[in-house]
Amino acid sequence: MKKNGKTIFACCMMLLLLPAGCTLNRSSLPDRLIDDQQIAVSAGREAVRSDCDTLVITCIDYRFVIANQEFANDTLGLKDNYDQISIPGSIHNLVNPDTRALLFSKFALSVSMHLINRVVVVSHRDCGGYGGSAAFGSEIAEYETLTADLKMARALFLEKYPILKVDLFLESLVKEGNEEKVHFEKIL
Amino acid sequence: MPRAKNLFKESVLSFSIMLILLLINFSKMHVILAADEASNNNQLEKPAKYSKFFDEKKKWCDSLVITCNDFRFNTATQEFINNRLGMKGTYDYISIPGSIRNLLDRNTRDLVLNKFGVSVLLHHVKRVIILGHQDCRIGYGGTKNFKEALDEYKTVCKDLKKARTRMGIRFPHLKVYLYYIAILSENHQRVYNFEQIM
Repeated sequence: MKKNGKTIFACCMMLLLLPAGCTLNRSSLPDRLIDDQQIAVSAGREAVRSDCDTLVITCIDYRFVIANQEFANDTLGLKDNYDQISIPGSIHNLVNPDTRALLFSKFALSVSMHLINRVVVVSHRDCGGYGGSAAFGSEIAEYETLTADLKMARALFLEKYPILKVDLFLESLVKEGNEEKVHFEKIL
Repeated sequence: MPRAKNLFKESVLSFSIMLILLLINFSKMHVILAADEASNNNQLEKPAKYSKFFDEKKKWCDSLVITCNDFRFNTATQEFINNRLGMKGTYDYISIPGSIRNLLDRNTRDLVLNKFGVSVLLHHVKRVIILGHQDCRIGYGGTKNFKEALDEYKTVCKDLKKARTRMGIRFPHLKVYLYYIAILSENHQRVYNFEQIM
């Protein structure tokens, strides 16, 4: 009987170990990507400073990532001179009262440490944070909601930091031939 | 004694049933994981919400990049990911102040993981690339907060590895890569070194 008890105990211990196996990584991707890459950036007048002028807030969506980078670097001419915060749903988090306090505590860091004086908020259509285009019903309803949220975000920013300049942009995917281009619209 | 024997028999029976159930569970899990992989190749049914978009979709997302919002590292990070890793246009880009520090903080952990979940669920990413950097003023109070350069390196690496464990528990099918960015100033240039941490 004692022996049986021991085997049962051993079985129990084995079973306890099983969940640990579940956490092991079973991905088939390689372990090592490239390593020790050096990238040299020539330091202009802007890059030597320890503060920057602008905070850019964008969404994480991969369809817009490259467009966002080009927009900030070239179109706005802010290269090396902006903090970029990108969070899922962009400004949806700021309008949502649950996460507003947390987000403002993060923005405050950027304001106080990098001494920014301008905020650029970029929102986009078909955003997963809102549940995609389908969640709104129609394109006009989506446009209205997004612009209303953007304007509310601006109001919130100005309430907290009256000296900041806030620019709002809305992105949408436009089909041109076989390619999809990203179109920026400034919201006044 | 026969009673004890019965008890033993019953317990053995129940254990064997449990084992079989577990084995079935595991085989199912493999099937589910395989299905996950397949969904990246557009073979599974499409979610109704995005059906219009998914029909026209050509590019797919395969990575999630998590980095800090520091302006000094923006250009180099973009260059590194777009060109060196060759992932232009196929990654979600999350940049939050203090990078991975938020994941280790107890107050913000759940929120941050939920936000990562959006990317994982909607865009079906396969791997996560987390970048930590030297002189992170928001997360660690900058280099001056540490006694030595090595100290800082060790602290950041430790945090990165912790973050990998956390991600592994929540999303076991993801592969997590870690990078540490060091910055050197030479005459008129800034040199960024991207080192992979295993």
